[in-house]
Amino acid sequence: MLELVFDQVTKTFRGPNGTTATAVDGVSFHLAEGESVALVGESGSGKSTVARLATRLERPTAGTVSLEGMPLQAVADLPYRVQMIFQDPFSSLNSVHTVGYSIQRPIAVKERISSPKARLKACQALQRVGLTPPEPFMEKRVVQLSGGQRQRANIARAIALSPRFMIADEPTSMLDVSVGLGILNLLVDLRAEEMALLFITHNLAAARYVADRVIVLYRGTIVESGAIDDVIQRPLHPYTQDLVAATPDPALPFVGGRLGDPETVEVGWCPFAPRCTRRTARCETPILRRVVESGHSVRCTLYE
Amino acid sequence: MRLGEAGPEMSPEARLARGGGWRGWLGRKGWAGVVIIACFALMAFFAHEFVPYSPTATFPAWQPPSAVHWLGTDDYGQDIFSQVVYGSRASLVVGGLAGLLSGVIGTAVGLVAGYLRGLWSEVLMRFVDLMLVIPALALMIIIGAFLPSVGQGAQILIIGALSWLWMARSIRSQVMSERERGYVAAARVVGLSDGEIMVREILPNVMPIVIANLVMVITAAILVQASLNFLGIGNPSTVSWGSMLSLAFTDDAILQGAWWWVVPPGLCIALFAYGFVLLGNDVLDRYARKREG
Repeated sequence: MLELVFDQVTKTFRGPNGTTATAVDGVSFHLAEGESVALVGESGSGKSTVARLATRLERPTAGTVSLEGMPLQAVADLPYRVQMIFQDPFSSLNSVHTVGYSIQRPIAVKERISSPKARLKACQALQRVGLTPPEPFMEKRVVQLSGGQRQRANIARAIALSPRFMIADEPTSMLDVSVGLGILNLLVDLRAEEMALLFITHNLAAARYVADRVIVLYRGTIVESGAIDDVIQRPLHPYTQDLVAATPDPALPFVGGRLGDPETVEVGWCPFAPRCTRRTARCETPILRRVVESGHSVRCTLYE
Repeated sequence: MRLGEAGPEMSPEARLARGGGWRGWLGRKGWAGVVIIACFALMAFFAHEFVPYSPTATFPAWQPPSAVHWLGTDDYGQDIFSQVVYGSRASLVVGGLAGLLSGVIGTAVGLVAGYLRGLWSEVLMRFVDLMLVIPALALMIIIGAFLPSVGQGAQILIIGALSWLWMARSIRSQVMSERERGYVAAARVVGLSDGEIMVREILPNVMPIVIANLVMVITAAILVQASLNFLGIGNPSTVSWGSMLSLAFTDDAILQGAWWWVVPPGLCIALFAYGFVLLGNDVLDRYARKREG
């Protein structure tokens, strides 16, 4: 079975003066072929680090990321199996090249073909993402494109390599809403082509639009996961409950209790405990277990 | 206009990319530098066309400037103006080629050390630090003393091999910041090789820094070449501004009041180097402004 698997993956970054920050802490999940999974969490929850680990931009400090049972470091043709759409459409295309060059060059490298042949495939990719007619876009410089067009060009570059897995790291967060919706529709279309999608977002509504399954990440730890409708209708973890409550109506206040500064609060076993309204003494002890009920799992003392 | 389409208004970046023609490449300072350098280049290239006398022909010695000898003569009776014009060739050839050589080394070392993190980067930079604490001019003098003869080729190699250190540092730091940008991560994800990412993705983006540094390195090479010739390390039969000053010094031009023998080559060295400084500063200024805006 073709799968992208995270097994107890931890990533710790070393800062200046010997400080360390653990962005991802013992995360395990899998992404099967053709599946669409949303990874939801707030800023600093480690979402982007998961994306960078899945595309080998970072190496795990502990644990393994594997593709089809092979550790990612040993997969020679990873770029042609796992691709990524970056959060920032403005910096992820090199402004010294034309759009056409940025898309056709990786194709030429992958298939060892000449530029004219690669150019044809690049045009097809542009057409698929809705930049039509493709020829004038091929000649454009990045600065001549709008944000939405740049993100479409980024997607074209990724899908032109026909990957089986697509990591989309908050692809709409830097675009305005109407343009972002176009990008979401494009991702939904890609699903029809059996491309597995890991959709990273902080927006539960967008997650529901694109994905079947959701993983809720809080400060580098998976606190809850399950079928997206299940999790949204019956959130178990207090953090997910807050997230769901905050989503449908922006007028509703974030119901989290004491909103301490997450960077300075001493964290016990449950990373959400300092902000949780239903915190008990047990949250500070490492006795938490995952409770699984029909594919829906949670990491919280309330459900032990 | 539909949503998501670029409007008729262009961003300032887009206008910059299209440019205002070739005039827009540089500012007033930069073009002044280009004009100075071009004048010297023309002088060197067409030296034989408009020099009144051969630089080695002799006339009455110690003559002050006159209509016959525009810049007077030296103690051998050689025409100073002709020597100054011919001397520009040595500065241009040695300064230019040595500058280019060290520019290539400096860019390559800076790119590799900035892009590759970890051991290799550290090893390269510690080597650069080690070389930096050795006074380069002293080292060149020692090397020159050991060689049986130091022609222009040897001068180019010596200066070129020892002048790239600061350039490598400067380019490395720029590349280190550039490699964190999104397009580098994207290039890695789509499977481009490290070599291609360095040369075709990052290098064009740091080109203004490379050019500005290159110009500084050429300036330094011109000054070092003049110094080496002044110190007598070089072929004494080649006329250069440095060797002219050297002769003027040993033959007591100042005591004789022969300012016309000292001032012209000195001014030429200063002005030629200043042209490169103007050009380099202008390129850097514009790069910094583009980055901020």
